[in-house]
Amino acid sequence: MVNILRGIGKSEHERVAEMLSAYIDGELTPAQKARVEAHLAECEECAQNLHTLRQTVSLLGQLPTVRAPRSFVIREAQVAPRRRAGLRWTRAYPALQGATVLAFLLFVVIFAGDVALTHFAPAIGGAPLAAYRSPVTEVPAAQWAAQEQAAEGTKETVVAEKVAPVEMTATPAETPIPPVLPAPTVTPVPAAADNTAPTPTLVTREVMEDTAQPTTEETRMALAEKTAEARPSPPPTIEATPLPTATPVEVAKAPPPEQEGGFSEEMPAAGGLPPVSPARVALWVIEGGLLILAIALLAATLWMRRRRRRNWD
Amino acid sequence: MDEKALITAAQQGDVDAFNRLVLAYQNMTYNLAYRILGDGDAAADATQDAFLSAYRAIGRFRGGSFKAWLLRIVTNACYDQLRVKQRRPTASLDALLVADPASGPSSVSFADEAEQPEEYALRQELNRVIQAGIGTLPADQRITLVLSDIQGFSYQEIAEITGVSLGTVKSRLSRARAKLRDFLLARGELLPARYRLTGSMADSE
Repeated sequence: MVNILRGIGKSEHERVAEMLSAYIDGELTPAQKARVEAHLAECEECAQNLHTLRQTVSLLGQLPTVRAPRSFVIREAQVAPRRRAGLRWTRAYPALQGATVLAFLLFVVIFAGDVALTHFAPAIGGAPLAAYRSPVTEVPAAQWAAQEQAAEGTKETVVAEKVAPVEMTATPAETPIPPVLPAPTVTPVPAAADNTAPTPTLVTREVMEDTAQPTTEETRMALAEKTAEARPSPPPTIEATPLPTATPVEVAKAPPPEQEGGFSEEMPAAGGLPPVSPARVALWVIEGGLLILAIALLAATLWMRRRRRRNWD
Repeated sequence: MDEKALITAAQQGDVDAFNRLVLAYQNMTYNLAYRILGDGDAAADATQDAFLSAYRAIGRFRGGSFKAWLLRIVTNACYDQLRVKQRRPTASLDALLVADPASGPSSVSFADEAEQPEEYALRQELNRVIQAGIGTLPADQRITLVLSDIQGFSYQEIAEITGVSLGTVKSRLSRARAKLRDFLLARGELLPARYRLTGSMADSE
């Protein structure tokens, strides 16, 4: 009897089997519910299935609640994407520092070349060459101070770090350049000497603060004494330091030849040329652009340095 | 502070407010993850991941059921853990079947702590078999089954949490229960007499 019924209502049996789970949960419409109950009354297999399904559900329900083994509260450090992004940013700091130095170096080279070409062009083999050589042979004060510091037992790397900030603090002195920049047409050399003059004092003051060096005169005298020694074996920090300190020396050396008056006869010759050639205008544009770029980079570097220090404190 | 105020504060970046929500939901969250994953370490990882994700995403929570929103994140974290498990399978599920009774999770709390030692051992053995059975189900069915029959959510809530239709919830649950039932029947010898799934209709509640 049951077998016959099952044979006839096979699809009905399957459909009801699929509804048993929802039937347990009371999730069937009244019509579906009536249909399932009608089938259950005649189909022992479905009745048995319903029973075992109910038992399964009730076994799942008796599973103990597992308590959290620890607290899952969130610490601020875990959820600070902004700070993490900031740290990643400051990893660009050395690159930015390098770019700043490079931009200033490029500016100084081009500007010095510009000045040299304008004023000493015909005498290229003479005084300008000497002026160019002098910064190389005379080791900058800060660099020499670093060497002496190293001799005193401090690690060279530490000194190099201390000297590096000098670049940052000394260079802002050059920021007044923009207003003077258009001047090169008239007298570029005095202008350059003017704004680079403060740099040496800044350097020495910084060095004194950091390394407790003797007075400025003492340093200079010591420098003068030891220049000869420094020449044969340049200290290892030579890569990092020459730029900012070489700048004043180089430009400071430049004026004397001009003040000697040895080139007074060249000036009229320069005046004889067309007032402003397109090439010179282009050069000024390049110089101005470089200077602006260098100052922007410096500002970014200083800003990042402050940020980085705040983050690490 | 009620839940709504805590959520609003958390949305404005108040970690303390969010942590009060964590404390309110961490047991439920961990239990859900534990039953889905069958492993304490994986469950703790999923729970931690879920709360971190929830904190980052809470700005995008736009009302409705916070519990359903949170549990959706938890089930997603469980899917992630299951994927990790698939890549480097651990023996934890098999261990559930063969391990000695003393190796159960230490944090399990029992409704009746005053049970006789023998009762206790039998019950633990049974729970291990059930958990192993859950572990044999596909992820979708497993999550649906745990949400329904262990956490006690309605079909509508499960549809919300898992983001599928009511019909899908119904069929997943039906298949999951049938498979688990078959699993338990096949291991009927492991079960204590009073839990054996062979009783007649007269026994049913």
